[in-house]
Amino acid sequence: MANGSQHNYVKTFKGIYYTALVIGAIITLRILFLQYLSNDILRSDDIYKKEKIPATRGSILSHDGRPLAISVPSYEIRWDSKVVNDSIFKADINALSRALANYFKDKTAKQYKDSLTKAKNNNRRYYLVTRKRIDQTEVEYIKSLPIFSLGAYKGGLRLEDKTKRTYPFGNLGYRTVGYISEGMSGTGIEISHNHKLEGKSGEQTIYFTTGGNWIPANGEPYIPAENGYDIRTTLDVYIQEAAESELRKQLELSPDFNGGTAIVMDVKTGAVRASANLFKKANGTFDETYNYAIGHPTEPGSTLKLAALVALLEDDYYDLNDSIDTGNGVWSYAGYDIKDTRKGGYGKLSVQQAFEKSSNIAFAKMVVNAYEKHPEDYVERLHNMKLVEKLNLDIRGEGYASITTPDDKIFWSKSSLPSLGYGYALTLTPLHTLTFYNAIANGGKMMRPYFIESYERDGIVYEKFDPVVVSGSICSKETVREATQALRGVVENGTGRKLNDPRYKIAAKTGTARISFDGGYEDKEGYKMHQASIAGFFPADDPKYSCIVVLYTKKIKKDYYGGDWAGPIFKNLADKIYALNPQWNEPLERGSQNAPDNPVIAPGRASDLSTVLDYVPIHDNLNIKKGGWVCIGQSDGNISCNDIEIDDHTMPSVLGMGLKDALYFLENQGYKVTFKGSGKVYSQSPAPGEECDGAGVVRLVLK
Amino acid sequence: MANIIVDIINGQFLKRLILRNWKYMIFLFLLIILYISLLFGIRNTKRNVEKNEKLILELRSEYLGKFTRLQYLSKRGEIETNLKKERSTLVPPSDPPTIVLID
Repeated sequence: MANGSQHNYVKTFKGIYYTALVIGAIITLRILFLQYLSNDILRSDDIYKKEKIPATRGSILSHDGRPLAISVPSYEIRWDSKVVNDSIFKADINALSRALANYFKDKTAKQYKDSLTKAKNNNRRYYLVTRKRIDQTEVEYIKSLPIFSLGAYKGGLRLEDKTKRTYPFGNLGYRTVGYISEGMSGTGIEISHNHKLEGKSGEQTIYFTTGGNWIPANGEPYIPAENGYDIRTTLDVYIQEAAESELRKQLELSPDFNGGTAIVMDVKTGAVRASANLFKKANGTFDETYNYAIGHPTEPGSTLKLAALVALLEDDYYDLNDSIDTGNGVWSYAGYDIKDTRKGGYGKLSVQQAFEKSSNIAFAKMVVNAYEKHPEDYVERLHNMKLVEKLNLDIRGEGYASITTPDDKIFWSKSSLPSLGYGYALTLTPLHTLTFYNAIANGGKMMRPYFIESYERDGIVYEKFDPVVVSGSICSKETVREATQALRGVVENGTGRKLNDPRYKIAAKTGTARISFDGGYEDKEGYKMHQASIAGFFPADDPKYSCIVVLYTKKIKKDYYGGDWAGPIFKNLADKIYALNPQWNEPLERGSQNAPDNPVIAPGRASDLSTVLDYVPIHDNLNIKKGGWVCIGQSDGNISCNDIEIDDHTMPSVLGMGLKDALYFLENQGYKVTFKGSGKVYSQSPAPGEECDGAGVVRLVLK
Repeated sequence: MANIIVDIINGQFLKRLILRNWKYMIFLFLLIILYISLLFGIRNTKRNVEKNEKLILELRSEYLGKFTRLQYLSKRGEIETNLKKERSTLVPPSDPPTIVLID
């Protein structure tokens, strides 16, 4: 029996053994076949491949670290029409088209339907549904749309990862921030500092695993990506926005403007805080598409009279009280008529008055009187003041400033010298002119304007760019003082009177220049192009910001004056900067202010109120306890402090509280709060003192 | 050669190699199991790392998307436009703030 059983075991074992042997042989033969005979060859490239690890492009940040340009992961919406069942497509295409049209607003529902139907008829497998890309927050919505909600294999939705350059503040400072295309063309900081922004991509080997995933291979070289540097600019978001909005507002007042620029600079450092450039597009709207500020040299006109004044004062030919006869408003010199704006002329003026009224004749005469015998001395003086110095800006596109010199046989004529006196016969970009004004504001020290403060990564500064001095002193301190006095006179008594403000002092000079076109300043029909400008700084007694505004017109017959058109932009911009900055007022010390007659003090936490009231004299009359919530009331001029009663069965009062305090207070008591309106709590339901159980909803009305 | 084939077919080589060295064979077998387990473990970890990296990217994308919209809304111009829509009577300040010195 035992032998028979053993025999059976052996037979079974043999069966298993032979079966395994046969299977093994089949597998071996199959391997040999696949390896050497089959055409379906599996290469190592099919399992292993090198993958590029893309570097994240650095951000462009404002002066205070807010992002002006960032790279955001985004998705392209593509569609595989082949996987979608015909009946599902027919049933849901209308709903899908409507939803896409409503969401993206780039095409109508019909256009979406037509394009998707066409893609379906052509069996498109990688159809781009819309050019708009979506971010992660929008993915769920797109996945929930009809057809797409069926997923990749039935609905055909394919979301392709792409990185998108996003500008959180829209087109703010767009011409300075710039852009870069895939073909590596572009403008502004994006292209000028691309070598720092782009970073270095890395590389790794990945392999294909069962389950369809690619994962990094062991033991293979791994080169991590090196992300690009963030670039901190000198731009101030608030000032930039103010400059753009004021410039846009003014440009839109007249159809005659082609565009304009407004630049704000920090006096001490030369840091450009705002550079707004608006250019009229074909559709009549204005956009940041042309960089007037750094790349548009023109004859500056009367704003350059400051340079003439500084030269005349510095070379001791005149002082502000000297007199000059401007005659009847027309002065002929070397066959050319030089005119003043006022018909009949200004007659005799002091130099200060001539500057305030912006008399062309006065400045032409003074420069001719002083430099007629040696015009090269005047040109050299302008050069010494670094007026036409190349600024070597840290962004591309700097325009070329030039000056006509006496040794230039082609362009120099007898009229060149007087023309230089009132802002012609030389070309400057608005930034060149502002740099000069900034030097006067800075006590004669000329700073190089700059846009880039530092290269950073993860908040760590790797390279910092300090302010650069172009000239330690373009003129004497006395000349600076007199020039500032003259500029102040323009605002107090002259063409810049609209800028006068009792709260803070502006020093500025207006300019109204004609722009040369077709070889002249006026065509046969009497059309001319104007440049209305103003440049200056504020506050005049301790300058913090310098600013220039230039507006450019198309060919027109009307005149556009700097004081009337550029002046309001300067003033509104200065007002906004003034209202923003606490540096204009002296800091308050404890007890230095009188209490208002009827102070309104919102109820709140005793400790918070105590800290605040510590700095106003009424605190002496109050006895505020250390903890809890208090309400400060007044009757007959007496101020008293009362506790806000809290118990579990009575609704506490939050009347008069701000929303933040009211929410904190009530929700800590266990209530849920709803509210409408804005301001302080005006009424509450349930009313204060009503019986309640410490739960439920409290409705607040704010007013 | 013929002997080897016969050995394989009748299983005699198992008796010689494996049954005589069964402890060593078990040790080898355990090693192989351990090796495979570790490989699978590493692969799973890598997959998790990939998954988490993708999640981080998605969360970063979501954060940046919301952050971008918030930044745009925080523009003074946008705030003023929205206040107008809400018929708010708030006006921008015309005087600068004052710093209060606290000891």
